[in-house]
Amino acid sequence: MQAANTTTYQFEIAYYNRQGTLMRILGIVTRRGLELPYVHAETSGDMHKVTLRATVNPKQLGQLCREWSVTPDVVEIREPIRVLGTWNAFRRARGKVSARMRGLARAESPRQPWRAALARLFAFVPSR
Amino acid sequence: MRTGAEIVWACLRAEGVDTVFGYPGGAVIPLYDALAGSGVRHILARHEQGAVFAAGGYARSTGKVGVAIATSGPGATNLVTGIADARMDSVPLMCITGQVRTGLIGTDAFQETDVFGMTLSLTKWSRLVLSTEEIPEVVAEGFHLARSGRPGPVLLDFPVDLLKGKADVRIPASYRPKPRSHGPHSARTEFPAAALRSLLLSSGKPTALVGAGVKLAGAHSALERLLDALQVPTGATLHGLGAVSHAKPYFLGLVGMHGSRAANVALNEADLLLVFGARLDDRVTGDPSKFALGARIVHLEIDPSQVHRVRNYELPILGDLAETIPQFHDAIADLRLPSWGDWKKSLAELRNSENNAPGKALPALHFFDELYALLPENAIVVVDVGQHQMWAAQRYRAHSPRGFITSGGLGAMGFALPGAIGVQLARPTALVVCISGDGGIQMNIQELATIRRYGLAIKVLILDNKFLGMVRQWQQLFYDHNYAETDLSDNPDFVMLAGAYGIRGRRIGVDPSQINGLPADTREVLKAFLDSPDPELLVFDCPPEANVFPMVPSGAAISEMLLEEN
Repeated sequence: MQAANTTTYQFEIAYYNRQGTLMRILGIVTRRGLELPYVHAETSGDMHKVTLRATVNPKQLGQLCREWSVTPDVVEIREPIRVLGTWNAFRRARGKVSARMRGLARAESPRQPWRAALARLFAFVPSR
Repeated sequence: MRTGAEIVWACLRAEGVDTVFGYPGGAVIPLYDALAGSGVRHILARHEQGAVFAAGGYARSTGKVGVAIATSGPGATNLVTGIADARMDSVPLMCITGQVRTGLIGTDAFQETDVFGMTLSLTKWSRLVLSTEEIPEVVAEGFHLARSGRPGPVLLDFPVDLLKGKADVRIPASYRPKPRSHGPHSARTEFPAAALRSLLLSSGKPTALVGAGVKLAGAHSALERLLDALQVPTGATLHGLGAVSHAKPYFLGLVGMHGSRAANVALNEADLLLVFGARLDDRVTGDPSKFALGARIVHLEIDPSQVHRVRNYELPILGDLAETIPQFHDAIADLRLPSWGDWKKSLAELRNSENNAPGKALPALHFFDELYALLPENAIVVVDVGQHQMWAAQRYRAHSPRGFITSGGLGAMGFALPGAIGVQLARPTALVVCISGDGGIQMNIQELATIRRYGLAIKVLILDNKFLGMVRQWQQLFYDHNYAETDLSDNPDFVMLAGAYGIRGRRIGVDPSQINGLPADTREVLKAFLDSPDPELLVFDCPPEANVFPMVPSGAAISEMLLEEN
């Protein structure tokens, strides 16, 4: 259930991958009781990049970005991207996209790489 | 070749550390083994929380980084409250913990805790050190981060085998941060002089708010010069007290939950709020959604995470207040400012007619007046948490930027006694008065032994109302007098207890026959207490059901002040 006045955003944060930096980045979200339905961290040049999603109200949006900005070893915070759909919305719409869901179900089987499944699942949503 | 422990001490010396506070244990024995000859003075607390609060007091009174040492496991967990306190109040703190040897990490070994993990959200930066060779770099980086920008706590966790291991390392003379490794640096922008001037000229009701950031930046003199030029009504947060003289006609006193009526009215009815180094927390704003609704806010702040907290401010000015306050002054130097006569007059009238109807708190308030009247200029009061803290703040009149020290953000009971130890060691010639309640003093009372051990002439004042007074006040006002578990009427005899620690104790009570509610010899007792060259403890038997007013109920707007019980 999504609280009123909240929006799901996708955040991209570049950071130096030193002890605890990723956990500090995520902790700034979780200390507010927010869920992290999607987190993906990877190398990005000589740095790392974490992409995460959280459903926040406008006040929290500002708080998160400002707190990340003063976290040691955080280098850059991209402008958050508003996500127009969510996992739940996607699941509720299951009947209409059954073919796609079937594809995903296959993708989520142990024979398929999980990464490809996630990429397909989230491919439809990002939009400014 | 030096051992890791010797390298740690050498690094501390290189950072200018002369005093550390700690408590030994298995995982830090190598560190203590190398202490002799390190050139660093170690103060043995009687509990790790005492050590970390003492380090916090040391840092708060000097601006230098305080250092606390504890062993792994319970020693490390006992530091956590002090780390949180330092985080909330922007105190530069270096915590050094021992850890089980590297091969045992993650095995739930004896006295193993993941102190690195458990303090991630409290520390500004931390490191589980994984090689003896990297010690100089991480210590230097830790100190740099603890004291730079908005100061805060740093933790370094040393596995015991690293402290015993040897390495041939060079201690860097100075630390150079890696480019952009400590947070993105906002592009330096021009000071918004024109916008500031425009806001000031269009304002009919300007108010200034002074916070801890002014003192941390050492910008109190510059701010006072600016305020002298502006002549706008001014209030101070708990940590802002002492930055501006109470003698200034524009100064209205403490703001917030127990602030003065004039200061709170000025804050809430302003159409322009000039905020200097304050983070506008809930104890200052009351209900943020109802705070200063008609005000445009100019916020001078070093920490970008602290702006726009209440709502979007018109003019955030990010930067070191030591730079931005003089820039502010330059910006208005040639400005013909309005007099704001009606606004100032109405607030002055409010201030002069301030009647807090103290009721049963009358003796306590007069007691603080008597105490403060006797304190020399170099006195530092270190105050615990509760009703006495608010009375101490309401009556504080000294103009001393580091003269009023307390745990403000975290509100950690038990801070004052060990905090005063750190202050006294940092400022040996200052008269240090620890002001605590009967609840708070018992949270770290073992530190009386530390006072005795080092012969510190700290004056320990206990306001004993035989209650957890502030909680009881809330229970009385908002929970229908249900004093659940706040009765401390079975307190020990603090005078006898002081005697057991080898410290002289005295007691003073109230005298209802006197106008001020205090015995006629109060001043003499206080003078003897303060003039003693030895540590002293004085118990003031305070009326049990005295309350602190004014009071903004939690969650209410600051305009909804309670001025008296009825």
